[in-house]
Order: sequence, then C-alpha cells, then structure tokens
Amino acid sequence: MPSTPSRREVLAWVSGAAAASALPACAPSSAPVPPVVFPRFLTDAERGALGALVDAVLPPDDLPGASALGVVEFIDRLLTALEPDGAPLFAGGPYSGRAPYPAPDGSPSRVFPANDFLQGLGLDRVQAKAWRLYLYGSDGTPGGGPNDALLGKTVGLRDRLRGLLGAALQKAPALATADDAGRAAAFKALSQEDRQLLIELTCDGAFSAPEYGGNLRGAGWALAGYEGDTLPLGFTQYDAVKGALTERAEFPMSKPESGADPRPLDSETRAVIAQLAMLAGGQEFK
Amino acid sequence: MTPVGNTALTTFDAIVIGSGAGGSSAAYLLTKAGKKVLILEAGPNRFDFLDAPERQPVSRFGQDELKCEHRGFIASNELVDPRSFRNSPADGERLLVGSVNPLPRTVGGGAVHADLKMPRFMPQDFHLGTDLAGRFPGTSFADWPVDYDALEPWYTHAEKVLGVSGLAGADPFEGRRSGPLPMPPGSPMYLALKASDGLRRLGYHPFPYPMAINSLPYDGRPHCADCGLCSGYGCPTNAKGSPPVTTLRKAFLTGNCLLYPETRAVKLLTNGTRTEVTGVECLDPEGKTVTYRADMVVLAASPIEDTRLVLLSGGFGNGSGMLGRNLTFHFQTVAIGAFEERLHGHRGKTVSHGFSDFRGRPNDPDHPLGGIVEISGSSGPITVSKYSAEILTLLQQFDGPRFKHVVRSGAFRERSMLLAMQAEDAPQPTNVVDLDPAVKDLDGLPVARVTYRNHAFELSAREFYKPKLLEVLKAAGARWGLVLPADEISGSAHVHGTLRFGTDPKTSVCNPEGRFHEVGNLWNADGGLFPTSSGFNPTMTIMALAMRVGAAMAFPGNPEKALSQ
Repeated sequence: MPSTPSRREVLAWVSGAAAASALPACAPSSAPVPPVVFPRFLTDAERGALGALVDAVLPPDDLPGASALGVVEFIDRLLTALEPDGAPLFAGGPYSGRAPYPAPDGSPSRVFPANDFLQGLGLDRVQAKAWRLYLYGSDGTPGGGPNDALLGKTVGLRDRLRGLLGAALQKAPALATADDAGRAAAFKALSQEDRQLLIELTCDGAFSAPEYGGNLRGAGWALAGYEGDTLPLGFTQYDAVKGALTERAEFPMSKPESGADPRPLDSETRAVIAQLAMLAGGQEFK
Repeated sequence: MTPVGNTALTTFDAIVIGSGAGGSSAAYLLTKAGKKVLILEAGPNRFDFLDAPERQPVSRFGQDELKCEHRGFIASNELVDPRSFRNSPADGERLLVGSVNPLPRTVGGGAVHADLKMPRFMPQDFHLGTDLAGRFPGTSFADWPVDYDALEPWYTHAEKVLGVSGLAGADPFEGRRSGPLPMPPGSPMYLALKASDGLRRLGYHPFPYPMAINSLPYDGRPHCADCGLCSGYGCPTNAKGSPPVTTLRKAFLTGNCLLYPETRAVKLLTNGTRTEVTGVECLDPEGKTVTYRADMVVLAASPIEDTRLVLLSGGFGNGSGMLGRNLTFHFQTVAIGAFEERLHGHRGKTVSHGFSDFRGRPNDPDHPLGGIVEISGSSGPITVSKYSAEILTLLQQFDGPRFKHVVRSGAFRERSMLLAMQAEDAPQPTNVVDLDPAVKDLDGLPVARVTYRNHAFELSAREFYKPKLLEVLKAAGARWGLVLPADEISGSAHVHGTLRFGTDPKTSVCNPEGRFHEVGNLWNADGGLFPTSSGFNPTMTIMALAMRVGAAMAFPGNPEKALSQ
C-alpha cells in the first residue's frame, strides 16, 4: 500500500506539531502531545485493499492521494469510534490552535489558542443509538432499529465495509500493491452503492480537520486550495485602535484575489461545467 | 446532562417546549417580566457558561465541516428519529421514510445552525388573505391577525436583543422602521459586490442582508471574523447572535429560568374536558419518564414537532379541524453561476447581500409573488468535493484522476455564485402533518408524517423568475448559468403553519395572542402560527412574534407593556 502514514506520523499531527507546514500564515500552538492509541477494526490486508480503493477515488500524482492523506486511518477510527478508547466522533471546539488570536489592531498576534479539537465531545442518548445502528447495524444494536420490521434491518458500516473489502480481495488478492489501472479496475467492479460509499468516506477523510485522522499535515486542504480553519483570526479583523474592520491582504474578503491564478480553468474542466449546464437546461453566456 | 440556569427553582409559571428561535424568545420575555420558566429541550447543550454572569459563554462548535455538516453534530437522525412523506393520500400510507425537513436538535434549535439572515416581512405579507383568498383553487390564503404596524415595535426590540447588522432603508421594499439597526453591515463578500454591480445595471436594488451577526463588538460578543463556515454551523466565537448567547442567556441571567437539555416532551397531560394542560410528560436523558407541571405551557419545538406532540397527546384543541394543516415551507429556486475568475465565496458569512425585487406584488402578473434572493458562494471542501463527484457520476465521467483534477481546479468551490430565491409557498389545507400509522422513533412513538405537494401558484412564479435569475448571473459576469431542479421534497429549513393563528376559532387553531382557542393555558410561539409563509427568511418574524406571545402571557391584554420595562 502506498505510503500510508505511520501511527507515529498520526500522533505527530495530533500534537499539532505538523501544523506549520499546513498553514504558512500561522504558527502552531505548543500543546503537549497526548499519548493516543486508537483501536483498529480492519486487518492489515483489509487496510491495504481499502488504501488501494480510496486511491482509486483520489489518486496520488504530484500531490498525495487518499491513502497518503490518511484516509484509511480516518475510516478505521470511524469504525472503532464506539469501542473502548475509540476516537471521538465529534471533535471539540471552538479552536484548533492552527491560527492565532488577532492583536488589538487586528493583525495576527503571536498568541495561539489551545487545540480544543482534541477534546472530543460525547453523544447523547439519541446520538448514541443512531451511531450504534449506523456502525454496527440492527444485529449489533440492542433492540435493533425502531423500524426493522417495517423497513428491514440496517446493515452496519463495519459489516458493509468488511464485505466490500473481502469481495474486492477475492477478485484481486494483490489489490494493495496494484498499479493505477489495477486500483481503478477494482473500484469500477464495485456496485454503484459501494463506489458512492467510498467516495463519501474519501472526501470526509481527505478534507476534514486533521484531528480526525485524515488530511495529514493539512495536505488535503492544500490540494483543494482551501485555507483550513482560520479562527480566531479569520478573514475580517477588528482594529480596536481605529474602530474599523480590516482584511488580510493575502486572503481578501471584498476584493479580488491578488496575483496570478495558480489553477486557472483548463479545457477539461470547462467541458465538465459546460456539459453540466447543458444537462440542467442552463446556458453558456456569450 | 447538566441543567442550565437556576437549579434552585422548583415551581414554574410556564413550561416552554423547545429552546430555538421561538421558545427562547418567549422565555426571554417571560423571565424578564418575572415569570419562572422551565425550558425543555430535546437536544444536547453545546455551550459552556451560558448562565455565568461573570464571563461570556464558550461555544463547543468549531470550524469543523465534518462534525457540523457530515456527521450531524446537532442534526436529527433519520435512523432513529425519522419522518415519513407522501404527496397525497393517493400515494398510500407513505412514499418514503427518512430525513424530511428536519431541524437541528440542540439547545438553541435551528437558530444555532442558521446564519441568521434577519429581514423583516413586508407590510403586504400580513394581508394576503384579503388580496388572494379565493383566487387560486386549493389554496387557503388568510390574513394575519396582526399587521406590520402591530409587529413593528417587536421587530425593533428583537433586532436590539439579537444584535442585527445591516443598513436601514437600503431595501426600497421594506416597511417603515421606528429605529435604525443596531450595527452597520459587516464586510461585503467580493462575489456579492460583483453581483450587485450586475443587479444595478439591470435596474434592481441589492442591499446588505440584515443579519444577527455582529459586524462590530456588541453586547459583550466579538465582531464576526468571516470564517466562512456559517450557514449550517454553530458559531465558534459567538459573533452570531444565536439564542444560546442572546435570548436564552438573558433569560438565565434573570435567575428566573431553568433549562433541561436532552429532555424530550412526549405527551401533554390535560384535564378531563381537555381545556387545560396540567403537565408535560418527558423522557429524561436516560430515557426515563418524568413529568413537569406549570400554569402555562408553550409549544415551540417547530411546527411539525408541535403538531406531533399534540397528536401524541390525543389531538385536542382542534375544533376547527385545522391542527396540522396549512403546512408551508419556502419554495426555493436556486440558480448557479460558474465563473472563470476566483470569487472566494467561502470567505464571509455565507451571505452578505440580497435583493427583494423578485418578491413581487399580489395580483400583479408582471411581478408575481416570489421572494427575497440570497447571494452566496460555495461551502467547505468536503461538501464541494462530494457534489463534484456527484456531477461527474451524473455525467458518467467519474474517474479518480478527473475527480482530483476538478477538485484541484476549484471549479465548483472558488468559482461559483448561488442565487437562492425564498419564494412564497401557497398555503393549502391538504398540506398536512399527522402521525404515521406504523413508523416509530427510537422510543417507540409514532413519527410525524408530512403530506405535501406544491401548488401551481409557486411553480408558476418559479418559471417566471428562472430566466431573470440567469440574467442576473450573466450580468454579474458568469460564463455559465443553470437553475437547479426543484426539490421533490422541500429541503427548506423554513417551516410554517400547522397551528395557524386567527380571530375565528372555526378557521384557526390559535388566537391572535398565540393561545389555543380551545385550551386556556396552551400557547404556540414559533412558525406554527404563520397563516402564510411570506417570501423572506422567517427567523426575525418568528422571534418578534414569540416575544409578543411571551408578553401576552406575562401581561394579558397589554403585551406592549413589556416593551417599556
């Protein structure tokens, strides 16, 4: 499996130590490193196959693919979230410590908040039941689902993924080490529903806050051209000295972006947009 | 679960069911008038120090797209708390079971996740019965029992309590104001300025959207830093004037209020003649049954859940037969423009500008009743990457390299502009909430069933304004434009009706003060009262009206007395 991050790397991120490279405008907080070890559900073979399939969704090129972004770790944390010592389903708040407080004049200060995202938040009774059903299905939930008799049983994500990966490995035992074409073929052989599930989990993992296990070093955000979480500084500051709002020159609010467009639309992307517009009965304006 | 507020309180003048825009506003007025109030909220509390006088509350939300948008941090969950849906009884018992117009389940309700766009309704919105009743078969347009002038002081009061920013008079169609807005507009979004240029060239009138979001430090809360993750998110900084940090906090600080989170009201207990509510049966955070009692009870859990609770309690107070009927949403028409240029619509408050030119006038074929149009941009990278994949799948072009290429280009995130029209949804007595005969929630209780079909009234308005929305996108500089298909099930979080108020007990559930005609101590204080939906975001009107309801409870016959307190 290509360059899955090690647990050491994951923990390094969780500590906040890797944040500086993710957001060049900011420096990280120096929060202490919590000794976190999360349980696993997937076997090594299953993790290898999953890495190949999510890389079929978001493949590596000059920028990392899904597995290098930590999407496999992200998914395994989700699958074990309700196990003892499982990772939180909901990160805390309000701040991650990746951006500083503003100074009195609105400029970035050197003071960073603690990383509240590391303090996971609990589930209430309704959420606990809902997540149990989602992850373990009706058969793994005491009392099952409320409408099993009428609508059929819920199949849990753990069983669904294990079945999906087992079938993929049966067809392609060397899937974990397959090349681009092999990964794409394995992905294409899945059902539409399973492909959709993997796309959604890949997007969740690649572009969520790094505390959830994916988006290592903020590389998913960088790939998407997204600044990441920016509070408490944000994009508009209040200059208490002048009593006026100000904006950051590098991230303008009310003005156009400065400098050349690093990723202007090309013919391939224009064609996608044009086809979508035509399909929806829209138009290209001349 | 930790109660919030004065835990020494043991007896109450009023129980308020639901802590969202309506319930919190009624509780604010009641406690300010010295009444002792117990608030029952089904969802959890995601704030600390809401009742601490010496410090500001701390939000446990964050700029966390996964938590708020994709893991349902404060959302209702369709696996354990679903609703069912059908267009009409001809569909059988239901067409589907799942997520049907759910509102957030948390202390502060839907007004926590909303970006709190706060326009007032126009004066014409209060008398559409006079203008339209009988003209469109199947509809039930009715006048409100209060008009704009009666509600105006409550609008002004609510704007001060919440901290609304904006520019009075900038919308040429708005009604008179007795005072300015508390704060000037915040920073404009670049895409909104581009759209505004185009709108002015077409003769329209864009304006800074009134929003309960601090543009400057206000009432102990900071200015908004325009983080971009606003609509659909709780505010990490409390710059957004959501109920927990405004109306609820003010209620707690009186010492007259106690709130139990994670406490689901499941039955209203009544006297033998069903003319008084004697108690509220609840499930506590562990699922155990507990009963609370007070002299007055306020329903404010959203129109659909209010109706469900009354029906779970036997369906009393319904001599008019109107309970659950005339359910309305806003009929949304969304146009999307794609630009070559980067618009960075993910920076800001989701929306900074809008225009009311498409609200129209009753019985004017050249200006049919549509609604206010919000100008917005994109959302976070998870959401946009998912719908980028959906688009490629729809076009049968999905493969990994192409998907990544589209995500990297920012085509659907950095270069798009959305125009969302919140149009009048004609009331129909056949659009109704009742109990599903078979589908249950996690506690074994029947869920709400929504029977709803759009009327030709709003469908024709959509067709009228579709080309005009595309014209606006073109004028703003878009290269491509399209109008999304209409929702088959309304996706709007603007929910109204089912407990319509009016002067005639034969045609309405509640009286002009918001009390059930037939139940002496039961009130409604949310969008359930609305006879018509208007074409403007409803939260400001819900809160102004709920404050008036709270005042009517505290000062029977003279609610305006509360304004001079």
